[in-house]
Amino acid sequence: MNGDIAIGAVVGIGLIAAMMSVLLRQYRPEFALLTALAATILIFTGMSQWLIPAAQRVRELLEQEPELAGSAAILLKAVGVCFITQLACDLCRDAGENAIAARVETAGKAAILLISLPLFEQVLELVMVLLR
Amino acid sequence: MEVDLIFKIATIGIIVAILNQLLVRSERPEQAMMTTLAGLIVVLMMMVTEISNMFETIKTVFGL
Repeated sequence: MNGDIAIGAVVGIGLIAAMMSVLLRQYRPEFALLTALAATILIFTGMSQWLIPAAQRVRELLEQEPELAGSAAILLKAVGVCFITQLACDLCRDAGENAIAARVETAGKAAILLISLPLFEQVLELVMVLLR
Repeated sequence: MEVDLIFKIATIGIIVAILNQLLVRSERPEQAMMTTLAGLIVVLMMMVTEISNMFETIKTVFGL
């Protein structure tokens, strides 16, 4: 397991990118934003090699239970939507565009609501069975 | 993880900032703006493949 070495690389990339970003913000704010985006992408690319087995394991664990068979995909989809929404939202906030960030957040919430509707239906059915 | 990308972007940013200052001081604000735009496009072209890679990875990891 070389996770401890790679987390050092992630911390290093984060600190270097933060320094570059602060340096560039005085002269050209748009390049500060691009530096932040590059750091995000690099860190995510490095992180994906830990994320892939973790997501696979979660999927396997949830599929063992027949009741939860469909929920693993929904859960992971919701996490993915959260992830990219948060990414775009934070970058917009850093660029000073709070309105765009808020709209991206709203769109993410709507997408997650749509993704998790089957689960809501299941809960509702359970409630109906209990009420009867 | 290629940290080079961050350094490249930061270098382009510094060069563009210097060029911008030079051109503004020599009374050429239009060319200064064009330089900034060119730098921005160059950096975006560098990052487009990385961005698409990241989205592909997100798609495969979370099954979107």
